[in-house]
Amino acid sequence: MWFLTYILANVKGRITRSLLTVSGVAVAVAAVVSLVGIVRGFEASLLELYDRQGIDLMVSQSGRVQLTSSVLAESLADEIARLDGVAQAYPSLIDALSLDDGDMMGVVIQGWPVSSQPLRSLELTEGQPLSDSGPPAVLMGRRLAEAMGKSVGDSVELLDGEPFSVAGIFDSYNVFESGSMVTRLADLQQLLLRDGDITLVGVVAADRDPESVAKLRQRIEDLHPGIDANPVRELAESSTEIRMARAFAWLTSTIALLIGSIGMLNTMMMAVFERTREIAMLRALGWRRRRIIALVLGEASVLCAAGAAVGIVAAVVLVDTLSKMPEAGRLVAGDISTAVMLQGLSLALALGVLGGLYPAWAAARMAPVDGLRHD
Amino acid sequence: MTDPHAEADPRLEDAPLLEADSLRRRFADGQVMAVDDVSLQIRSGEYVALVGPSGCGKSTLLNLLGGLDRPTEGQIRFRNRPLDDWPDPARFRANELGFVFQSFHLVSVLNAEQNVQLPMFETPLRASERRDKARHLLDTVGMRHRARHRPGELSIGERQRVAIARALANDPALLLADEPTGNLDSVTAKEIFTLLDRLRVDGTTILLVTHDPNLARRAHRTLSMRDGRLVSPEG
Repeated sequence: MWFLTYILANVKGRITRSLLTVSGVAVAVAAVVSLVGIVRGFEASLLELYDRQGIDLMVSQSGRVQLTSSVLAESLADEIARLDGVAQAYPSLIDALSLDDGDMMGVVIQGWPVSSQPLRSLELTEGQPLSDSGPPAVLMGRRLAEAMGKSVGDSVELLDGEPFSVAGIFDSYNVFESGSMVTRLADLQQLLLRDGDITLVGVVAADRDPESVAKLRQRIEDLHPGIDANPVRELAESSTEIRMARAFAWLTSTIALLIGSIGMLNTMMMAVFERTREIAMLRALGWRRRRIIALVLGEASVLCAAGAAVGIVAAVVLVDTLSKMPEAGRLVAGDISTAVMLQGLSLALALGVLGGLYPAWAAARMAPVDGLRHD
Repeated sequence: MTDPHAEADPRLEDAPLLEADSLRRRFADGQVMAVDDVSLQIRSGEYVALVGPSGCGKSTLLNLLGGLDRPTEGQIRFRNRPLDDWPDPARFRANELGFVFQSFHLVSVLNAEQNVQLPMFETPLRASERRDKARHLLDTVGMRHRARHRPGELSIGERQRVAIARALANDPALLLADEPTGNLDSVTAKEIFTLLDRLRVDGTTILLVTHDPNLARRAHRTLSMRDGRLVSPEG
């Protein structure tokens, strides 16, 4: 018999309690893995989007808490484009709208010049690209179009019922992009009553090595006071939305873990109490304290590892299901990174050790002679 | 402090295996003297029965001698070495003693063979060696055919046989048995008598606490206790 055989026999021997404990841990781990996974996925999507567009620096207004509240003059994009070391500069207006049409909240809409690289690089699966002139039109991401039940030729009512026709639908594996819509910069400026305003300037550097990009960053920031030029990663990581989402994910996860930990503590205390005579007998047979501690912590770890496995599978299924739902699918990528799964497993094992530590200590310090008399 | 694993000094052949000097065990309230001025010696190969009425201190004395409890006063020496010299009483119990309890204390979720292996975790034996030794011990107590059965599937007598095999797992120098037939009917008790007789013949040193005069009669000598004191002459 291996030592692990004894541990597993104890877990199997009290199957109902073990299953309940595993369920508690699984819920905690599923909460951590799914919430953190969703936030990380969203963050990664945002980064990947800008990376794919080849943008090295994002220019925004200094001191704005939310990226979408940045206000810059459209002429800034031309000024930046004329600087040495700039290959391209794209003005962009971004906002999030609530649409009565389809009861959608927080739909991201981006306005770009029709000739800009990001707009031209969209992979249309249906319809036509936006033209320089004509009535207001949008290109819709596939996930958003599915969520709103729109197809090419339909119209979508934006603010105050302003109708925009759906000129095309683009596909993207990027959840952020696929859940948004794009229109001409001028149309969006008119819709938002922000003529001449933009939110960001995306800058592609001519020479993309970090040192050259850092120098270019300085040159851009020297153009006017009150503007920041940030590498995309920095911008995404400092984004209030992402930081709030991260904080919310960790707060919820911490609460779930605390509950799981208390559940584990309760289970292991019960296990030690119920097996007082068994533990005393083992001590009488010559088991050292550290082996008793290993027995109790081993059981806690097995329960937590099982809970982690169930929790990770549950999180994967949950996130996949959410990503396929019309409303949530705009924001939730369907996959969870291995790093987040490993994080969930590590947290579960830490939970096992934390929850099992006091019961293990209590078991180890039990005087065998007292334990053998226990009823 | 000497090495607990050191070989016994050949000059100690005639020395007592276990020796207790003026043992006292007073319980917390200080009013009850469960063991009062007990001195005794047990030599290798002896079979000693400790008898006396309920509550006279037999089990408390056995716990003291087995290192499960500490005396309030007095000293216990094993192979002429004070128990206090052992860095960990658990090591002493694992290396030198085997315990048989009245209520067996078998682990319900393990089968007979696995129960017998429990004390061996404190030895360097590998898993396969533990298994082989457990099977051999179950053979010794006539329980090999029930090796895969859990305690709940065994009769009371079979459980005690498994418990005795477990007590022998680490080849103890001294077997301490607390009322090993206390929970058994007379027929099953006889089986245990026979088993203990065989162990005695094989040279196992046994200290047995019992109420059973039939079992006590089989011992080389009998110690009687009353009110925490030995009332029969030691030796």
